[in-house]
Amino acid sequence: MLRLMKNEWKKIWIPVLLTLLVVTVAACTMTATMYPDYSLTYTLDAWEVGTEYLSLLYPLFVVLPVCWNLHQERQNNFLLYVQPRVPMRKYLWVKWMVYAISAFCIITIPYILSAVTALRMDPHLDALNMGNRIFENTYSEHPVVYAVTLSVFRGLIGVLVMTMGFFLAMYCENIFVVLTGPFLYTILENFVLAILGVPQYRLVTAFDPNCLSPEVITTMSFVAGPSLLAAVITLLAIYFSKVKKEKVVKV
Amino acid sequence: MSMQDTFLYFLSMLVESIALSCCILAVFRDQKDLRKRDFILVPSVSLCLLIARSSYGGASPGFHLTQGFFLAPADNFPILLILLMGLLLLTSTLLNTQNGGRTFCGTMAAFSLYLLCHFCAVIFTLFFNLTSSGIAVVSSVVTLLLCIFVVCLPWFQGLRSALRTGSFLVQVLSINITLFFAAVCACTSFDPIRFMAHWKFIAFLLLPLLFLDIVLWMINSRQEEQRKQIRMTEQYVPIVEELISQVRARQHEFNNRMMAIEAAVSSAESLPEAQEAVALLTKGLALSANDSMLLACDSKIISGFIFGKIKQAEISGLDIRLQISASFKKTSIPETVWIELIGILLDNALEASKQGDTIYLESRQAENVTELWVCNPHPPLSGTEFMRLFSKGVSTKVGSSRGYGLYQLMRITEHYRGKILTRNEIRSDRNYVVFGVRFS
Repeated sequence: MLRLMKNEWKKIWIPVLLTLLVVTVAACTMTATMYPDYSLTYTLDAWEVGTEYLSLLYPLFVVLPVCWNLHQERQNNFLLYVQPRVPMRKYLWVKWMVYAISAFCIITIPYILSAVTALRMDPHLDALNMGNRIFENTYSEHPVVYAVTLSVFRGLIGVLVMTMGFFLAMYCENIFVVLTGPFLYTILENFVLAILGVPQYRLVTAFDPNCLSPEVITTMSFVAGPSLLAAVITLLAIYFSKVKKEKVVKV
Repeated sequence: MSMQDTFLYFLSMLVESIALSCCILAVFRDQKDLRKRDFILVPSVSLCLLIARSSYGGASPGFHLTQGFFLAPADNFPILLILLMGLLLLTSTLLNTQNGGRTFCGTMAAFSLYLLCHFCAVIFTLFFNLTSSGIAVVSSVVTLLLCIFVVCLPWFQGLRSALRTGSFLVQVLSINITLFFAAVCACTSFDPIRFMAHWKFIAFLLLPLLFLDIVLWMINSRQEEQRKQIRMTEQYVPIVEELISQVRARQHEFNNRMMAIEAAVSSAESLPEAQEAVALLTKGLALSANDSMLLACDSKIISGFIFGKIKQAEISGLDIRLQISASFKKTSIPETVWIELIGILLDNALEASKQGDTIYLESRQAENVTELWVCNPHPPLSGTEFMRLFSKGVSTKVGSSRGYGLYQLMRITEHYRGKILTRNEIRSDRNYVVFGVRFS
């Protein structure tokens, strides 16, 4: 198992580390430079301001560096040669685990490091927006705990989004569907749920609970978006495997 | 925003989606290839633009279209990125384009073309005293008209075929121009008035970008040429090395024969007896004329290629005779191009000849002028008939995909500033047609 994981890591380590580096540098730089244009109530506000773009583009960062590999292995029939050596289910499971760890790190590390950057700064604060956010006590009293917890939760959502890309790569031939599908799903889901008048259940809300006023945020806001995504992934898997009868390995 | 404004913005968005779809279809489809299914692109693009221009919340609660007119069909960079991705997904799925690179570059080309028309249209409408929604509607109509005009221009066919054949320059230009326009939009906050204020600086920035593209294209062309050379070396050098090894294998036989000749001469009692013995011993020893020519040729790749063609001709019962005295390596034409030229000339001659015919491949070099020609038996042709054969799609043979060889030969010759040779010649009481090239 470990040997297989090591093999998989060798295939994707360059794009993963490159993405991690670029995203971390971008998040830290934006956290350190964007806050003067905003009115801040707490030190950690600079972190929220600086990671705004990251919160929008994260589906690309978790899918692009890893899912191309599975798609390519299907396209060049590499999986055909893997099949007699390792059970396919085990191979895909190991692959998913390596991809999941990579996606988790790509999201969590930049968020945590940019939070550290924000906490080391000394911005001018005013009390304009006090009482206008969820978990405000933790946010103001224990900003590190808040930032780490939210970053880890975001990392888990990132893994879920990557899983969608993984399933698409397992069944789809079209590279654009595989690489941009999860990103466009998050945009469409955001659009549709906003039109339907339930923006508190969007995946974006779970990812960034402070994008709406705290009155509408409930426990369901953290569960609904990820659950809907999990349901969509399951439906996709059922559709491709049972309805369209697509095979992961085509002989 | 009033109901009338909302309607006008919606209308402008619809017209813009038709313009964008028009650009995409023009890049990916010939007029004859258009299918009814392709027109699903229009509502799909409309949906993309609607999402790009819609917003939720803000000053007025609920869903609404963003007000104002912009340099692009989006009002910020992330939305523009989302729009581009949506378009990539649409073109790859709806137009069923298999090649990922072509889909990407084609979409970029279509989008940059659309953006260019949209830029011009927005700037044009700024000169009139219109309301914001009026500018949005008029600019979208002008964009559509401009897009239709551009895709109807004859050079657009060239762009489409360049994208289809994977032209590096067109691909790089498409991607760069889209990125440049996106960057311009982002830097000017998608505001046409800001764009107008800095248009000279933007135009100045475009020049180094074009220069960079040309440098990239030149580097790529050189690398492509080297790759072609390596491919041909790998393909043809082993063939000629086999010929050399065959000659080397006979070296042992040559040594034995030399010893036998020496012994025959020393033991002969008279000169006629020695002459008779030497003639007997040297019989069948000489190399064939073709092999000598191939071994004497300075380019191993060309030798290998011609050797392969000779063997191909032998299978069809044809005889190729060589008379090569030119040095191919000393000309300004790359070996890969010589191979293409010889291939076209020999293939034409082989196809036009009957079993038992003899084809001549000859070359000559004098005072920096290199000539190469191929002769094959054929009834005499007039000057007009010779000229006609170099037109695209014209052939003496039957078949739909014919008549491109001599056309290609003419294009290569024109590219290297050479001349085409054509004449009728009498050899062994038969008329031969001669096709060749001359480079100086």
